[in-house]
Amino acid sequence: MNPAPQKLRLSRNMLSRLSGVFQKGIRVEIETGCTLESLLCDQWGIPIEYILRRISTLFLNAKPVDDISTARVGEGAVLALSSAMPGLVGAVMRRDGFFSSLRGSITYREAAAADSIRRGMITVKLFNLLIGELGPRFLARGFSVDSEDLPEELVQGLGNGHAGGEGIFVIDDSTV
Amino acid sequence: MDKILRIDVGAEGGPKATVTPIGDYAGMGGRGMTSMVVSKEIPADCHPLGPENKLVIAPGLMAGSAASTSGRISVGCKSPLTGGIKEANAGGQAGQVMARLGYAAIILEGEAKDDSLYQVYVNKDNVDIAPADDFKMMTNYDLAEKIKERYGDKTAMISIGPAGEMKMCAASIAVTDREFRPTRHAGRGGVGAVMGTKGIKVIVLDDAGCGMRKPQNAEGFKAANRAFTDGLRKHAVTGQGLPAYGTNVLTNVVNEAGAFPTYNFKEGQYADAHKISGEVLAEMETNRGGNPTHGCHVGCVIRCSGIFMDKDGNYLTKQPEYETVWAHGGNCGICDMDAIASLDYMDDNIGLDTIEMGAAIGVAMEAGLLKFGDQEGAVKLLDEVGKGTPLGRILGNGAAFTAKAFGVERAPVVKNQAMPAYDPRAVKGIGVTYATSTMGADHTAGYAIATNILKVGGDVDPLSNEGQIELSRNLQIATAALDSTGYCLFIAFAILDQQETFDAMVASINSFYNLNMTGDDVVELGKKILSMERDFNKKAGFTKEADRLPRFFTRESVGPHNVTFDIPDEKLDEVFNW
Repeated sequence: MNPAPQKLRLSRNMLSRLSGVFQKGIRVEIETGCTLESLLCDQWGIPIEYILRRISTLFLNAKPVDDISTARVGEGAVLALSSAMPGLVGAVMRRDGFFSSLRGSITYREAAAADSIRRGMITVKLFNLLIGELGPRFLARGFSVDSEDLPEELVQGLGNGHAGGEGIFVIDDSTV
Repeated sequence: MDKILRIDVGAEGGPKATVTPIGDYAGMGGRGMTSMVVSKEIPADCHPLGPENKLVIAPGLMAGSAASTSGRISVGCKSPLTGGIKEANAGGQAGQVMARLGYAAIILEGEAKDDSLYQVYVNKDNVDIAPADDFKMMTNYDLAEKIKERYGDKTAMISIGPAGEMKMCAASIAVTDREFRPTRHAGRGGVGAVMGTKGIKVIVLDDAGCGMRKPQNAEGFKAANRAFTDGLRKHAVTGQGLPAYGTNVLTNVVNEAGAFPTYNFKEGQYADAHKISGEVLAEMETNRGGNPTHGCHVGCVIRCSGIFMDKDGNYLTKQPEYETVWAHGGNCGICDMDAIASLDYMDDNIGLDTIEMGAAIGVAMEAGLLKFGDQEGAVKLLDEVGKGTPLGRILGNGAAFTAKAFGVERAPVVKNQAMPAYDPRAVKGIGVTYATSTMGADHTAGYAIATNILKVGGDVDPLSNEGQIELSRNLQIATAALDSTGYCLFIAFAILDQQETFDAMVASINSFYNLNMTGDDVVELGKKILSMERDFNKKAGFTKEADRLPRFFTRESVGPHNVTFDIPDEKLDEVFNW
């Protein structure tokens, strides 16, 4: 039987210490089976204008996504979010970009039929500018990470349970 | 920029400088200039290290002016690495300074009489050439200190390190940055080896007393340049992403896409990529008193360079580029940013192309000389290159040479030049460009330039093989043209997405030269350059079989997508049909 997860409360000004955590991936509980657009807008409350303007590169299970209204997010999915990237390959990876055909063989294409909605865990990765912009949103909602992925100074806080501040930070310490 | 400085390195009594009018090369700059001189003046079948080869150095058309982000300088020759035409370009101060001195090109030509080294000093009044044997086998950073002592730090330096003197195929040509550090490199194709054969160790450019180049239409240029600059600043990539994180911001994204070549192109994702990302790099630089936002030359508004400090807060190297972090990092299984930064410093100091060296060490790891992830071993190998040991000379001649020496099939090269940091199986469109570029595998040969605006060749079907071919063709045409202007390729994102920024760039060029250039003219310039380059390569013995990826890319799939490169050869042969 796994030990109960420990909780760590962090303030938003600790966000910069979690940059590596967001890049490697956090585990978030969602209603799975929905479209990516629904997840971003309805479950996470991210304005569609922000998504269209700012989240220009999305990967679902390592595949670049062009159509967020058809891609469905299942249990155990890995979702990575990035702002616009430089370089030809950066442009190639953009959602529905002019050069998207250059990566046609790895583009995400939804093949699964619509599944029933149920609670489940996915992994979310945030890159570059989105760490600072979306990180607080996830910090406020709470998420899980393996303690081994935490910065050392935060691991030391595990024993005390809470470190003050407004965000709830749930640490899955099953690997400890 | 109406004159050319020719230096005959074989003249009686030592190298002799002659200044000639620009003549038939009028209107050419950057890659357009270098490729035209190479194609007109160098016998294509010559040996790259022989007396018939020349080294051509040319600033872009807009260099030396107030045009934003326009300081690129091109270096051209017949490549010792590929055996074909070569243009490698760099940032740094030299492009701006050389243009202000009025030189559209410096051409090193002839046969050096002996092994003596020379330095060239150019100011507004004179060209002085002096013996420089005291600089023999001196590294670039030490050389910069010596030059700074003699001429101050307001000049610009173009130099070779020991690798260039040893005529290695991975030898680069260094250009100093704003702090007079030799951090910017024309890296690809062994251009440093050609400078080495000419016996010129260093060229010092001093624009004291020279003003900024003046536009023909001052008001029009001022307005256009302001609009162009505003466009760069407001775009998410050029105004935020690149300044904040540098080019290494790509590591996470390319890795997530499964296109981050790992362990000498065996895998497409590196488990420790998040330890060497641009985000981590920027944080380290900030925490150690470095700077993640730094322009490599005066007048750059993107400022994607940076300053990397060691653990004690002392300068170690400039912010390693994405390709460097990949080459010495993921490709070799090294996830320690300090180790990667040290390798970057060694490359710059010895005068080596970081992509070629990372790929060569990756091949050496595959051959069993050392294990993937052995960062101390990688440092030792680079040290051997700098010392010119037999093993070092093998590695210093590039990935293909190293693979041959150690019996490894899997050399990730095209035309003998190592592939950069994108797996062509996951991103097949870039594989088309790797295969067909006149330069050998090159990530900048087909850049994300505004082909949608230029409508090069019309619209394409995005899902067809023809679409990939068409896009690669268009990208290569547009890139060849942009490489002639001196504008940094990183302006591509702003002009790709913002029509008004593209228009402002064209208006800047038109008002500067009092032209009425259209998008069609840009396309024609790009085609002209590529045609010259293709023609040179054909005369040098290249056939269509040179425009192929190594067969292992079609045979071995790469994870996580388990894809191979499957663009048919006959489609690759259509890239240059226009």
